[in-house]
Amino acid sequence: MLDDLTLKLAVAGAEIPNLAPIGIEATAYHLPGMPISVEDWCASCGHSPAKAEAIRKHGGEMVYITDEPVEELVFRAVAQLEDRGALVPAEIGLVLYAHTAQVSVPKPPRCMSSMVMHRFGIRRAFGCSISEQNCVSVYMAVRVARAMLLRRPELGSALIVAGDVIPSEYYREIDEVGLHSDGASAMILKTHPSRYRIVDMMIHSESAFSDRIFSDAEPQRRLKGTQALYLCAERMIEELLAAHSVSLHDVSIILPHNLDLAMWRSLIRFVRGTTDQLYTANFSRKGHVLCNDLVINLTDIDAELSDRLNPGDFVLCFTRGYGWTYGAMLLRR
Amino acid sequence: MYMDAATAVSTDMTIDGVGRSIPSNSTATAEASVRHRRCGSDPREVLLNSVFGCATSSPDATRIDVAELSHAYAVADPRATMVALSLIATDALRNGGVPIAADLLILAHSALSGTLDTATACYLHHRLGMAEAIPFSVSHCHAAGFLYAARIAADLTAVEPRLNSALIVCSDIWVDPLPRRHPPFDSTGDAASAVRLSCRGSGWPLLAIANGNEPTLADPYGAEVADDPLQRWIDAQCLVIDIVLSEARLTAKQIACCIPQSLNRTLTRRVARRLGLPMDRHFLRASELHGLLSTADTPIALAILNETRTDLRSGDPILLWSAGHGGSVAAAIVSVGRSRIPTANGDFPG
Repeated sequence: MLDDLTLKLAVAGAEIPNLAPIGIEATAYHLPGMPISVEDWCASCGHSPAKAEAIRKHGGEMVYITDEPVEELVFRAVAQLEDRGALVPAEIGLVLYAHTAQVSVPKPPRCMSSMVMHRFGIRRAFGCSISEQNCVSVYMAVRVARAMLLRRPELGSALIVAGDVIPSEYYREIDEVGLHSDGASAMILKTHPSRYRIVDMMIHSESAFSDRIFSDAEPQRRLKGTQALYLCAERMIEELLAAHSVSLHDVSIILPHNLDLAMWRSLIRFVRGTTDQLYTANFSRKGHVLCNDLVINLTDIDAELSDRLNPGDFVLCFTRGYGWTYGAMLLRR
Repeated sequence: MYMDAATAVSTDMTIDGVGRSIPSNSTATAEASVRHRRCGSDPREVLLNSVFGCATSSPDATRIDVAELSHAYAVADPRATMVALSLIATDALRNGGVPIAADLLILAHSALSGTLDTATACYLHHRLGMAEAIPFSVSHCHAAGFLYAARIAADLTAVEPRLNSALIVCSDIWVDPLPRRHPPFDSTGDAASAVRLSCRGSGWPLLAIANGNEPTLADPYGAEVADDPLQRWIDAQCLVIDIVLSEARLTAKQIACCIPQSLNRTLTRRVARRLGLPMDRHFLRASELHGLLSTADTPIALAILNETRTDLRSGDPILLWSAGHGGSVAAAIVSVGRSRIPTANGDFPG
């Protein structure tokens, strides 16, 4: 059944020599307006109440929707960092924009990273967009930023922004397991961070599944994709942790992408973790904000779980992206 | 508030080969080039128009007279897609004897991918059988995109021991409502290129790359655009060229040949004057043939130079520079290798 799964993960694992520690210094996010319940969304789109019920069974309760352009959401997320004094423009040498939806960009020839530089007075940075890993794109941006900061320490800090606005309600639903929310996020990476050091990370793509969305007419494909998720998650987490002599029981919190809580509970058991380790608060109240879930969860656990997180604790992040991309990252507080 | 610094890196990568695909080899007048490819029956148009508004009625905001633009442009072929062009360019590379297997598969683009609900980088990853590569895209730097992707590839391979090679596919197709004219400077064609880079390979050494972004050029439609965008662009471009020359321990006088971007002759002439680099050391053949080829512009020009400039000798330094969306500016130094690199043109079906 799974004979054409690649599962060749050797290349995706980063084995960076023990250079200066790079990590996450600050995070912020912006979700637009008031959330809408899945029932109201289904009613407004002409869907049956059964669809709302199905989404609720998978942990989804709310969705954030806006008519604003994505750059405005991104600016608000970055402005939060600025307001807290976490953004020092003169120290930023790298601005990367990660997004999932292709249309979550300012209309060319506008460029999001340069617009952020202009808005916030950053004038010595390298900037571009990193995408096409879908919801894993933010992991790829972190990986690129880490390499660039290690290679050229004079870059100082990196500002990674992410944003997504779903262009049509047609694209908002995810196979009756959740809804895409609109939103944006921002994080600062630097050497010797005060919050989280990036221990290591992995990115993997099972692109054989990338050519089309799974449909009800293709139950075998859907099943195969689900099996691929479980196998990739198990292999990636095992390899990532083993490379650093960490066991899953040493991990304090596992940060998921905020989609399909039922699947995640099953997945956690499959990888031999415990549901206590899984951070679940945002499945219902924030939902899946595409590339932004990582930063949203990192921001919220600092505010809500500070009693459970001590210096030296491990946080494991794992995300699946549409197109069957996978990202795993081990952080140490 | 202008760009006041940029960074460069030295690399141990070589350019092992370049494949290319251009929808049409015919040239057109500047007037013809600004025609937008219409896809009226394509449902994507409805969605794109809802997101970006209609471009066909957008004013011609070009501040430089059309006569100052490069004088030839590739004509878009309505049958072309980003995936099709990318696969043709990659096949051309493979047919030239260059293995396409690589640790990184980077799609560099500024236009939207062929489909809106899948990732072209992942799709190419599947179609090209590159299961062990990491696919992702580096985007929105337009014609500077190749040199941004190459910088990222150089940094990733320098830092991560398991990464040693990259296939950079540059591909753009401009469809309504995305504008083919990009104020204040250019009108851009459709094309794709495929470039393989490897660490310490046998191709032409990529000695150094520098990149930066001029923030006042971030939004040419915005109210805060620089008063004199051309001057801002020249200043930023010259800054990264100075930095890359310094990184490679070269002076402008030592440059054997310069490949400027094809977008704007005024920009080329003024940068050349500032550098003290005579115009007769500039390679303009590619821009005369095809005009500006979006993200694929620089690799295609390098391929045409490789095929036509037999006077260049091993070790001759070549300066590449390019500018793109968001005030992105980039420059690189490539050294001519001991032999020609495989380059090939994949014909788009006529």
